[in-house]
Amino acid sequence: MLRQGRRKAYEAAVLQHYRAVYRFMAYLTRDTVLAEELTQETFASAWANIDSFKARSSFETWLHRIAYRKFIDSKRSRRRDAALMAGLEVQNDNAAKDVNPLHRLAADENTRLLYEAMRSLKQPEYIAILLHYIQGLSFRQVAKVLNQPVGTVKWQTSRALKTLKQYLSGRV
Amino acid sequence: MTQKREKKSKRITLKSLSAQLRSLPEVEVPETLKPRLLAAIPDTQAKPAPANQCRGYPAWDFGVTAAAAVLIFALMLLVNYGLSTPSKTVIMEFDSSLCCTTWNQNSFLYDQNNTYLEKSGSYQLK
Repeated sequence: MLRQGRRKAYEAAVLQHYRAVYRFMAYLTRDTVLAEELTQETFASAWANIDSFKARSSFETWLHRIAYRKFIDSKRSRRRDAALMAGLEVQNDNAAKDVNPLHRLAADENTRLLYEAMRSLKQPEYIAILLHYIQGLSFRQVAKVLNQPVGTVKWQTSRALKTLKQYLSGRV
Repeated sequence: MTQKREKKSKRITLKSLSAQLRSLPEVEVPETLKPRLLAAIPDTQAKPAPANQCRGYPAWDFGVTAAAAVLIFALMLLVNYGLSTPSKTVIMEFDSSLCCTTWNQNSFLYDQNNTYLEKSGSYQLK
């Protein structure tokens, strides 16, 4: 149905998945504006390539895969921009906190500590944890999104959990 | 105080940690996002993905390669067998290699009848 490019079917898919894609982007970018932009880009790209969706994986996995690629691309371009703007940019921590969608969530101490701990993780481990525990994808789905073997994903997740435990045990 | 801390740290298990990760509060989605996403869907049907077009290339490529191979083979056959010299010349060369002696060169050259070699007695063996 989706492959036929029907607008209504696609609208339903957007409504079903946009929260998950935005959440994924928010955790990846820690920036509401950028997360919103990348979510839009993800869905635009998904619509443009709807014919390439062969239902070998779920639509959710396919969307996450596109979203992850969008994030990687934006990270690359931001790195270039940052190099250009390095001399002009003035860091403002308060402004950064306002933009970060995760700061608003850290209402209690435990959640705040957990976010802190997650920030200490290496990127592949952070993304594995994010996709499996927060986005609720299975290890097989995570492996497809990241284009890695399932074993590697499981190993990264378990290592990330151990790191988190170590971090939190030292703080609590 | 330290004992209390130790007790707390012992409580953190991998299981409780994964449960805590699963129950993290939901990220607030901007209200403007949903209408923007829906408005961004064009009315026209989605174009076929470039990946599909790429899938056509190997078959097309194979056809061209096969055609080129057949053409080259045909050319080779044509060069080796199709463009061979006329039989008259072959006979002439063959006869000369057998050391045929003098013959009436003019009649040989200008006679277009293929049977002249057998009928004429204008040549002799050495």
